[in-house]
Amino acid sequence: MERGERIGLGVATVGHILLFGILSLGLVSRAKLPPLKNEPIDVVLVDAIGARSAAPDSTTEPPAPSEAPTIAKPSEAVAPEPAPAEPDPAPEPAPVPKPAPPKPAPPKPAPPEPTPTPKPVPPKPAPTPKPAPKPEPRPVPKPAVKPTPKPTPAKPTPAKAAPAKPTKETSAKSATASPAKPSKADIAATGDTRDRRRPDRTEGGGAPSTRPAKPAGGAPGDKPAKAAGSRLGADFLKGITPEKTSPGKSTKPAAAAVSASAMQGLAGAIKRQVQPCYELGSLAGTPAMSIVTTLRLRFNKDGTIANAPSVAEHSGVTPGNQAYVRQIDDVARRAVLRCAPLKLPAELYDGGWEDIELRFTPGTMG
Amino acid sequence: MTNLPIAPTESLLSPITLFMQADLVVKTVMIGLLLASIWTWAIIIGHGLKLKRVRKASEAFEKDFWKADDIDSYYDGPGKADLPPARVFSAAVTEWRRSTAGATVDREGTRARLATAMSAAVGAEIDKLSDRLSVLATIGSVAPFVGLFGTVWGIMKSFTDIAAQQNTSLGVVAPGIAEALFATALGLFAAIPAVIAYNRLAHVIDRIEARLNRFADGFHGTLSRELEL
Repeated sequence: MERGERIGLGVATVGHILLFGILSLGLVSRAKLPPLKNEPIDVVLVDAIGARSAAPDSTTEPPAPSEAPTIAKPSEAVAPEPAPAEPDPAPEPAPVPKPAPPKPAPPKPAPPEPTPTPKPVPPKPAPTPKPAPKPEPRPVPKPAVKPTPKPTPAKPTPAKAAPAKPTKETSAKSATASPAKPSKADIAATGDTRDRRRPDRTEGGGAPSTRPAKPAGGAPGDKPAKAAGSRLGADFLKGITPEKTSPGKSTKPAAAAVSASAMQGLAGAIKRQVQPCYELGSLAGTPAMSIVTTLRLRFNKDGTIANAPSVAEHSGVTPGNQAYVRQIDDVARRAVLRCAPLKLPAELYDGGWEDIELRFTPGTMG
Repeated sequence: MTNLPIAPTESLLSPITLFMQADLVVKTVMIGLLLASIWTWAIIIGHGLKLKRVRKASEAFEKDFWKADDIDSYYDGPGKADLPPARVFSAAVTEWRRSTAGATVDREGTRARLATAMSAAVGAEIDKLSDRLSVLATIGSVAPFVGLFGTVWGIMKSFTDIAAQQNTSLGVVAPGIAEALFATALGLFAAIPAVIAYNRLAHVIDRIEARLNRFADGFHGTLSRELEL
């Protein structure tokens, strides 16, 4: 009797201790699971900043000169005269003339024919732009304009004779064919300051001795070839135009794409680091889930947060979850503050994560 | 805002952690329920073994008894055993000897006295066997309520915490509710085996009682026949 009960008591005590020990251990291992589960959260970098970072216009400009040489090279190949260093102005016809005009202006007083050979060097820049613009108009009308280029080599004399008239005529003749020429006409019509340009050109036309002389000098060898192999010229122009357009377009988008991908990676890194700290807690499953909070964050270079994160905007706020707005904001703010020193690539700081907006989308429940 | 008491995720649900975090009242309830559980299992094990032993020994005793030829010699030998049927037997024999000691024997009176003595012995034996069952019955019925009391108290406390912290974050509420629910869990943990064991042991004791009564009736019949000789 006594013995049986004592055995029972001993067995029960030992059993309880064992059971609770096992439960403690087992539940400890189970308690490690919860930290693994994160609420489905979408942290998105707002695109506006990406655009700002992609802004580096300086990067888009450098490619432009690179385009020009490529254009110039073929032109050199065909007509070595046009210019080795001048190609830079070539893409930008407008700016070049401006510096040019003063230079030609001094020569103007002494435009007289005697100087042609020595001074032609300064004037060259001015005339060169013309050859450059000419190819530009050509590419557009390539097929139809082929005849016109032919006349131009032939024109030199009539054009020289009547510099202004031919432009009007050409503008009238081929409105589509010569975008640059109409511009000349416009310039002639509108700007007094541009009159200087026109004079240049008119003088170029008037002092065509230099220009025609050069084309005549250089062209005689080449232009005949062009004229003879006008097909080649057309092909050459074709080659130019795609080069012009494609590199220009490709380089600009390329810069944007790089920064965009960098921003993508940055967004991923930020999301990865902030997400573990984003705990909805008791808000999970409430109407608050449909509120999307966008935080404006300014970072220091070491990844810490410079200002208290401010709420940039909300979306998905309904009368039903109006009461949760402050809490959900706090959750987002707390997430950022708790994970505060973010580890992000330092080279992307300026214009990258220096000043960003984070969008917190608490799950797909809402 | 930033210094919220975030619940430690590690081993939050460990029984020991829950117990250590609990309020004093809840702790008391938990300790009581744990002791009740231990007691329940002590009774289940000890009493279950005892009943099993008693049942087997009783069967063996009865088998031997009906094979025995001489009641008086059996009374002096195996009849002294510490078993319910043996005690019923010895009670009947004692009453028989007292009743038949005189010159004249009142048969009817003797029969009645024998029946009374044996039923009293059976009742005493059953009482002795089932005295612990009341404990099981009590634990089985009360433990859930005690656990519920602990839970209600714990939840009250966690709501007080919520009110004090002005925050409904799960981190504030969870530990209190977990420890509160742990009290109910302990109550059920003690009560469920107690109820099951109570029903099981009551059934075993009923069978022993029925068997004792059959034995008593049989022995009463034997003694009655002896009276008529």
